Amino acid sequence: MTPSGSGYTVLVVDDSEELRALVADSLRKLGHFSVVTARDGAEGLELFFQVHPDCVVIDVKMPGLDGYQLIRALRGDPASRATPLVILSAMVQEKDKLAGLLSGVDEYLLKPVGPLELVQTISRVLGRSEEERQQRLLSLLDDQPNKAEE
Amino acid sequence: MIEPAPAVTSGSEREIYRDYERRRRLQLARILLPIFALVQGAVFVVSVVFVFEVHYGSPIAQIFIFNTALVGVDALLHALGLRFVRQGRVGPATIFVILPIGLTVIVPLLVYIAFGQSGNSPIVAITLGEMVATLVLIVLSGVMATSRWVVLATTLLMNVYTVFILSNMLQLASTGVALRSQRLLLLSFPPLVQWAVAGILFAASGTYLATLRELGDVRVAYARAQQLDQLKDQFIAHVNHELRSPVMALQGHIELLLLAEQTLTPEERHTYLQRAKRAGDGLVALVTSVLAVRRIEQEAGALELSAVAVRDVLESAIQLLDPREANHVERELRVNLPEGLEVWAEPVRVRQILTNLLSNALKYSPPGTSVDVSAELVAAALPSGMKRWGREAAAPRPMVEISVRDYGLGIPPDQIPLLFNRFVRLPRDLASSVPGNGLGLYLCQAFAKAMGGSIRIESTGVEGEGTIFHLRLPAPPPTPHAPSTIKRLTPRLATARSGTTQRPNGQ
Repeated sequence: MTPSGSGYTVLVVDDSEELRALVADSLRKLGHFSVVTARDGAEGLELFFQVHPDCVVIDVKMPGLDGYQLIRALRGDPASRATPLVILSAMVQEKDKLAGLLSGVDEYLLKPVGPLELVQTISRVLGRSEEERQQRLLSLLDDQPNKAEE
Repeated sequence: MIEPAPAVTSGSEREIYRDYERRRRLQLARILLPIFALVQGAVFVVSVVFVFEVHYGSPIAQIFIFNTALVGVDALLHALGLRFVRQGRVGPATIFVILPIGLTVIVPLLVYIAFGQSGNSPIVAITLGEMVATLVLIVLSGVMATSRWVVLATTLLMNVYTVFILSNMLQLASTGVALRSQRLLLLSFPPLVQWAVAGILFAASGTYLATLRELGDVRVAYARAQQLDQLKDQFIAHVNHELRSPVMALQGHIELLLLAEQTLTPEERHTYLQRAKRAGDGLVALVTSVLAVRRIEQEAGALELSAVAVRDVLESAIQLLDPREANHVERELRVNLPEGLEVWAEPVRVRQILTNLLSNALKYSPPGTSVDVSAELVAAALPSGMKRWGREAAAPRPMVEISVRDYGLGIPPDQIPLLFNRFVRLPRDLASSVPGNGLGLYLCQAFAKAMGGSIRIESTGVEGEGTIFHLRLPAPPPTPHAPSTIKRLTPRLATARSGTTQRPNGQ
């Protein structure tokens, strides 16, 4: 059963046109989310403050303002500090994963990620309370680097 | 991000040898200095005892006290030399090993000869002692010097010194007279012994230096292997990264089609299939270029050369360009070709090279700038590596140079040579979103060389001045009435090909 994301808006920031389209369509078709997309960090930041999405999916490697810089910018602003963020990355090394989690994201997804997994992850992240999210972030960091998958 | 591997150049190879030699001498000085300080200290103690117990008050005692003091100073100099060893200064450290020994060996006797020719026995003892000490200097010159010819020079010098002090001893009133009848033996044996020692050192230091050089070669080979390893790691990390996005696009769209099949409109289904196909094409392109690298390294590939019109091949290359590489922005392509210009090459390979160069030009320059293509006939010398003499010493082969210029960031000149290596991308490109697998230019160069041509990059590294890629290929042979020309061509191409196979990274 696919979870329903109706009522939620997700911002997808990715420089690859194909992946942006895939992520957006997966979220729309399988999760019934509203989706807005941006091509790079700067555009993503601008869009965030226009649409105030409920969750942001961020690619790491982007020209200009990259994924981590965008995350820092979002985490640094009181208006966006509490918004769940999900990294979508092709960097496989442990240190990349650690860097992702340290930057304060809620989930670190490693490409390739299937549409269903993507929708489920975002639904899960959206369903967490603020307290749960804090707890989870701490436990994830405790488990590094042995167990970053879950 | 993975750091780019440093290049092992001939310059850094020389540096490795020099470094090896430096460390060897430093290590020798570190061990020899304390030993010599102790030995000189012992000589100093013996001299002091001698002065006080045996010859105190004798006429030559004053000179002997001077020499005793000199030995003491020399011992201290050796100890001081350790300071330079600690600082890693090889030159001063070497001087502090050799100089005090030289002073101890040479100065005392000269002082005696100058001031104390009174026919006393200490002179004889010192003279005989120092005969032995000259050997120390010869041995030192053998192990501390960078060239083994220094041993010969030192030995000659010691010969002169030895003969000089021995003939002086023969002048002494007491001992001299007694020894005079054995003059021939006395003057010839010590120099001969010195030459025997010199001979041993000359041979030993020769083999020693040869071993050193071999060890240096091993180190260079090791550094090269390490560099290659690093390049491979870099490539694997990169291909890994490059593979994940198209795999996700391919798999994701198919999964989406399966999961949401009922709700999708035919147009949407078509779009997803097309996107999946594009992702698949991207994957195939990546795999193909990785495989092409293997292939070109394993077999030179039987090339079918023919006259190819530059204009035609350029047009077909432009057809092959992926519009996405220019971000779908219309770009101006300025072409300046002489009518009827042809190259002697394989059309598919030339097209491949040109497509690659053009696509690079588009990828690495900003939208709105133009890309220029020009070509001209150049009377080039024979390609380097082919002998100028022998059967084919005829006129230099005319070449065609096709130049592709962009007005992008340019390439830092020190990074240009690296670009023709496999799997190498500029550090700034690794950090950017411009796709690439670091194989394109390597393949282009390999293809060009296989056809008897070459590729050269010209760039100042200044933004906006861009980069020019010069592709050189042979012009067609003067047909039709000279079939012999074609025959003559074949062995040359064979040479070029085998050259490529043996040194895939050579430029």
